[in-house]
Amino acid sequence: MRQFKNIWLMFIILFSATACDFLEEDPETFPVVENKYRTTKDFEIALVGAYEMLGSTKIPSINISGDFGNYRYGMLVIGECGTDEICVKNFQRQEELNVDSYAIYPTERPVQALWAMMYQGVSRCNAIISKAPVTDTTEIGNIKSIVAEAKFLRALYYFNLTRIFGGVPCIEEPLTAATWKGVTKRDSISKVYRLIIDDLNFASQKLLPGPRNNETGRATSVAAFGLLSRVYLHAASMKNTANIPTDIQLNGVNSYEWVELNRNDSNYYQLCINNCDSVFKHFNLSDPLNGISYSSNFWPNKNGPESLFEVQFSTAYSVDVTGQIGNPFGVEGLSDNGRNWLRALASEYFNTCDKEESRFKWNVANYRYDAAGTKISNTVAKYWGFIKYNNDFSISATRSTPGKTPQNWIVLRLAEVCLNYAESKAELYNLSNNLQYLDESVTMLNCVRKRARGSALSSVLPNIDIAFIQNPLKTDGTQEELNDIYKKLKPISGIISIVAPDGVEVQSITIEPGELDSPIKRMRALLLNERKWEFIGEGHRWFDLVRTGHLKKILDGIDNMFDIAGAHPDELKKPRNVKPYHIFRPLPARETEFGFEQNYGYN
Amino acid sequence: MKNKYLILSAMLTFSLIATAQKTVRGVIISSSDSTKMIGVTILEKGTRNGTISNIDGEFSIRVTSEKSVLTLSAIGYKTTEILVGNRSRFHVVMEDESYNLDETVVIGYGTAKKSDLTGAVGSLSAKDIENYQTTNIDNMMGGRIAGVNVTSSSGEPGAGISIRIRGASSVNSDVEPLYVIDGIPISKSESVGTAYGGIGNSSVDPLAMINPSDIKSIEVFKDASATAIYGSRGANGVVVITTKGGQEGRPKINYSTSFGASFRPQKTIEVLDGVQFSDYMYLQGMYPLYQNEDGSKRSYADSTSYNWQDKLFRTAFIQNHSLNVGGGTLQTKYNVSFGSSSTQGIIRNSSFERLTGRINLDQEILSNLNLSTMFNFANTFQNGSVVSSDTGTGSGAGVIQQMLTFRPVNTGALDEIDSQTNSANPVMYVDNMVKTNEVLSLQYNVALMYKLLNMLNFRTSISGMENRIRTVEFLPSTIGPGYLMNGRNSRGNAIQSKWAFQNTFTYYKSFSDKSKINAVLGFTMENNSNRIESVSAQNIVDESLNEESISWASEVVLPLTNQLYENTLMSFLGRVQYYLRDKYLFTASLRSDGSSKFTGNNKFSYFPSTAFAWRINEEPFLKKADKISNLKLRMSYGRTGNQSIPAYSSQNAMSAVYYLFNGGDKLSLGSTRIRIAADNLKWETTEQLNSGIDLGMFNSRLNITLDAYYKYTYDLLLNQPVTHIAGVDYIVSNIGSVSNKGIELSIQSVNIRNRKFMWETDFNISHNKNKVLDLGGVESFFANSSYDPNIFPNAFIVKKGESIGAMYGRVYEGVYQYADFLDFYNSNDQGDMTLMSLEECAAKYTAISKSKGSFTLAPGVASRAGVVAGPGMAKYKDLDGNGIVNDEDRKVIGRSDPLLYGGITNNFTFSNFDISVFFQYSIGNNILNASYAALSMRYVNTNKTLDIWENSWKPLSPGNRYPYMTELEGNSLLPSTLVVEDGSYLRLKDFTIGYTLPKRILSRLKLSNLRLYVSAQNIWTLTSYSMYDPEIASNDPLAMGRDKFSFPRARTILGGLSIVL
Repeated sequence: MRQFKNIWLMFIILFSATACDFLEEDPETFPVVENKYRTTKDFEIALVGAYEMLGSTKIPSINISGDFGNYRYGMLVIGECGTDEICVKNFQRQEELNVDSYAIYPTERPVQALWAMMYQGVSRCNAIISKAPVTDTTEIGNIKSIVAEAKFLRALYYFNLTRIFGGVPCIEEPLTAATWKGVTKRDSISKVYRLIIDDLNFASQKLLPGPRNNETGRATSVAAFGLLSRVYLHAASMKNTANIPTDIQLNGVNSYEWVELNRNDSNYYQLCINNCDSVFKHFNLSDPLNGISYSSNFWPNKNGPESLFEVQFSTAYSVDVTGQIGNPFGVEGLSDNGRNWLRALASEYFNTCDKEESRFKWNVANYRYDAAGTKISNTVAKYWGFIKYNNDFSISATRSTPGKTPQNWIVLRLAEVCLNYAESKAELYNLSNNLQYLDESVTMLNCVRKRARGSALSSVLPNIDIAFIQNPLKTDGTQEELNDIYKKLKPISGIISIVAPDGVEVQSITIEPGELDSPIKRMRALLLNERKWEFIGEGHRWFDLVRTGHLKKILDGIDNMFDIAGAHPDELKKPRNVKPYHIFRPLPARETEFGFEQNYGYN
Repeated sequence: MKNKYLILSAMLTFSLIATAQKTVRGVIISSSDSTKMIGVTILEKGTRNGTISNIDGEFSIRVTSEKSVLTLSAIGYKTTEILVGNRSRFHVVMEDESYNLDETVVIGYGTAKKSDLTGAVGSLSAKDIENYQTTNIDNMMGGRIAGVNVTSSSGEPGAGISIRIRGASSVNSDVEPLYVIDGIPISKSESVGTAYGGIGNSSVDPLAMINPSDIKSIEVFKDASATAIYGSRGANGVVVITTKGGQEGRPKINYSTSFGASFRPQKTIEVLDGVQFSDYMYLQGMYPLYQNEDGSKRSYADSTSYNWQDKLFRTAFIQNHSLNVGGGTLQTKYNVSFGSSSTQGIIRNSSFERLTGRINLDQEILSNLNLSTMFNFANTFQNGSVVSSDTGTGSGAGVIQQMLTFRPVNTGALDEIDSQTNSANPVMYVDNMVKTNEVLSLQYNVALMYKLLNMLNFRTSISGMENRIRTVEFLPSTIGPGYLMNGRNSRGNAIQSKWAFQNTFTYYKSFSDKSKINAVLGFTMENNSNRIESVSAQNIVDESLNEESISWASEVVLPLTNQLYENTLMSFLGRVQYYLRDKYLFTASLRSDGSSKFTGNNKFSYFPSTAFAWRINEEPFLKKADKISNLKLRMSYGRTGNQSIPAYSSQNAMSAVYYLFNGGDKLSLGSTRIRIAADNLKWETTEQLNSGIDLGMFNSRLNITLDAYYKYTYDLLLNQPVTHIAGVDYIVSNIGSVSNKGIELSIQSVNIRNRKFMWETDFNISHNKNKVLDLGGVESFFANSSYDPNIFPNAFIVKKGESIGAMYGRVYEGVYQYADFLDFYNSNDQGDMTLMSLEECAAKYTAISKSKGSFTLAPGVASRAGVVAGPGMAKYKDLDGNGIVNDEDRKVIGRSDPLLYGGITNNFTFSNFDISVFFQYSIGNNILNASYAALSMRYVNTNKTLDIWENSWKPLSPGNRYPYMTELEGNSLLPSTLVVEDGSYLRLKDFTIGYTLPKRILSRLKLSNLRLYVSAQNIWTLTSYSMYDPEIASNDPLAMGRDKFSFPRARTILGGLSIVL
């Protein structure tokens, strides 16, 4: 029996020698959170992760297929489909078609991906902000700048979330297995805005005007001011002009009644203007766009002189960081290889825009490239794309270029700040009846028009006269005279008749009495038109139509999916049937399964 | 890693002691024909000491003492026991028996007589295996053992198999049993991690690495009494595979070979031909290709019309060779085998080749010390360019999808990339794309058996497996998937490595009253690691080197993959079997497992089991009932566990991402959390209650086994979906419980047996009911993680009270018709409404559509949330009757698991011929036909099935089967009963006719045996399923019934011969 003892002894030795660490895990190839966020370098690396979500289509921990990233493609679809700027031409793009025709399903990727990817961005920012050793006394240094950049990004992600979905849960810490279950309710829009504004104020104060490390693409204080101007304007105009019917209001998650417009010290239009002024300090104060050409913003340029914040894309390394904008919007070329599936409502634009102004040629490409890479004229409007999202179609360019479009997505540029300023001033004029505001508004609008006019005659896109805004009527206002006025104001499609290039009037909308009958209505019409001509294809339109309350009116007058000059089966022309609740998109079905209230109308 | 060597050296320090022995010899004669019997296994009872009779029926064995008992066993014969006593020569007559109760079966860490089993064990003996010619183990096992549901994941050559034993007891990724191959424990789920596009996937099917003709027996442990000894991984059952060992005697050479051909499936799916298709496309008004300059319809009547099924399916060839040499002396026994098999797929450019080599060597070092070694080498090469992918759409789709949906007409250059779908024609796709998977697998087992005392043995072994997997993918720019990247070449390497150090003491003692005791005590350690490295590059400047052109690619796809997953397991185990007077059989076992995947105090868990069996036929009151040859009652209870979660689930793991500043000129690497650490994870535990009855009648000509069980699994290790706000799809959690209740019946009967003719029938049928009992406060969650979430999203649900992975969705009620809308009624002065004529309806429909107006639903017709209903749209049942069909109107609409499944085999033997007919069946399961999404896709230059085209709603022929294909509402993607089909089938899985040469001819040819056979597999299937093959198994255990263009099983005819020298 002694043998037994030996063996047992052996077992015990074996066990005690090995058990201690035999069952311990060591993930050699995966860093773990607990060992990171310690050095400034750790935070720098984490911050790159927060930027990555701007342009990525993939989240390693979430299974969402397809191209829909935040600014890679998702914001483009949400911002442009279902507006008077573009149509969806490719029938395989079922989900885009559904966005376009306001038949979007909560299970579909445009909302699924945007929700997941925006929140992925938020959670990457949260990891930095919550773990960074920043106190009130921390000197401005790298770590504070890192936090400020993260706050800028978090504000941007939240702002997009709230203007797409309404109120969303405000999460400021990375969620854990223990805490995620606590998140079941949507917060009110006002709470989300408080977070956004706090973050942007922090960023605007702590960041420098120029990008850190000279790395273009990083958030700057100027970008933070610019974004603040948009945030304030969005909230103010949502309250002012986007009437959310009371019967679809849900406990503050889809309403803006909390926005301050009546107090002088916290009037959101005034706050917008203050932030615009902070931006203008870094440009020509009296004429911010002076000396900056429209074309300098676009292909083949990146990060042009008026750029405030751009998502950086490149053809280098892989398709995953190339962006998509030139792919769906660009000029048709070589072969119709799945490109250019979102087409400009070119004839609509063509009919309302001044053909002599400098923006026209960048926004309408009435040509294409043939298989040999030669530019050929293309008279069929349905094939027109945007020259500002052109690609290199020279024969030497690699085939991969069309699929991978290296253009940056311009999130924010100076012209928008100018128009934010003009709009806020006009609204202040409306609230206070102080003519000086109207004067400042028209002056800034004319700055944008002057730049667009470029070297053309002054009769092209003429300066707006304040007297005209005040009282355009010379007589009692017959229908003929009204029509004349509207033509001067330049029509918003859907409000006035549209004429096809061949001169045939395609549709005519009766002008209702009361439309454009006050100075502010005329200013709003002018500004909304100006925004379309200036920003077409830049992902603003849907938000602008929503916040100015024009969504239904304008879309009721436009076919979805096809421009009117396109030869498509009549049966495909379906109404968009815009309903009041369409000012928000549906929450993803996957999320409402966790108890989040679905937006009105989608369940 | 240091520990490994420590253990090794410790193992080798055990001292070796010899004891006295005695040699006995004998000759064995068959009772039926008085011939001398070769190949009878002679075992010294209670030991591993044994031999095999030689060609003259003689044997010689050295036994421990005069008290030793020899057990003689041979297939088809009653096992005989003889006490050695003082004799040294024996003349043994063995009685044949069609069903052998005394057959030795493998149990965990030992062997037992079948009659001594207390647990539910299904087995395939050497006889079952030898009579069945196949190249796949799934074919060998499928439908043959009650309670075991075997499906191969597709008909693609080399595809893995999926085995469910008594239903899915888990909701996480692992419901597969534990495999123990020659003592090496292998869990399939231990291979985790996949790099870009599946490149570097380390998943290897351990069964694919074995030459089926090397297999001696397969045992399947079903109840807890049998599996608890494997503790942590026994919850899904255990499959034990034993390969052929050496035999004493002169070398026995066995060569077998087979040649055959595979044919396309029974069914051809009818799609539109060229003319129909171009008509359809013209009607859609979509493409200039289908109209003339003046806008009129372009006729393709004179063009070639392609049915791509004819172009892609082919007759494929198969050949197998296997050579086996076995023999040995008393001290040294060996078995060496070499096998080669080559299988072509029935789709062009798909094939699977396998080379295997195996050495089993047993050496007696000292009279009480034995060395047993096994070494298996396998090299497989899968050419899988046609992998049927579940995730891709359009150009990324698998070839089966492309085959059915690529346009059938030549609209120009047929090989040109299609501008809408980015796909080249499927023949080009298959011929130009390269996707290969090569596995080099080594399996080894070195065991020392040391007899400490007469009744006490010690066994220690080091065993392991080392798999090197190399995946190469090349997507040339000439085909869709490679077009936009201008060619992409990827390669991945995975190393899957595992070792197990197992030590057991075995104690055996028998008493004079036929009572005996058998005990096992053990300690084991295991380590598994998986490493994956992969690289992918694109924009290939020079593609002439095809899959070797990665050096000519100008862009590396970032980030690069480098992942290592490692986990360890340490266990203590013990088991006591006590047989009281050979009538009352008791088994009790206890295993304790510690796993690295859990933290702190949760690492270890305990898995006890107990079982009792009563051999009633041994009782005096039944001794007289001569019709009953066997009657045994079995009861067992036990606990098993499951730890199949990825390593590091308890860690907040991070991964690299990157961003490019300065307009894309400056690459910066960033980080992100990819996993949220699970909280306080612990073992998933299954408790199982089993009761069974074994009945043998008429001298064992009729044998019935009936088992009923209840399995209760709690602390489920669940990939619990979490809101995307958290930044992940799911967190692994211990949540909820499920139960499986079932009943299994197997009947073996010798219907006719006389000198000329024998007819045997094996029948088995199983029923399992799976039910989710609790999900930790959640009512349900959707199983969406592993397949394309955009095709029928949320179609599978894990819901309290339902079976795991039940199909969930709306009830399809056909199509909104004109009558459902007020717009299509005329009303007279009295206000009576009459429906317009069809022509009027169609005209008005077109007019309203043109004017972009909307339709007004008639009172009482439910509307649909989110869309404006119109004629031709899918109509779903308004379950809650609130007048609007929305997400509230969903319910369970189908089940993935069958109500009943099993198989029936009939064997006929007359003179030297044998015939075997084997049917497999499955009743009451549903298939969610996800292929429908692509086959009904509108406005795309892709083909449709004739069925969908002809039976869909159109303005002038308003059908009710499918919605109008021009409706832009995405309804094809909503899961509903429209795509849930009956998946029941009856399949003639195998039909074999064999001929064995008569003995007199054999002896003239100086052969021991020669058998010729012809075998046909999968040649006939009865099913109503609309796609090729109802035998489907999705990779996702939560979505088992999902089929999206699966690779159909081939119909195969093989001819072969087997020669024994």
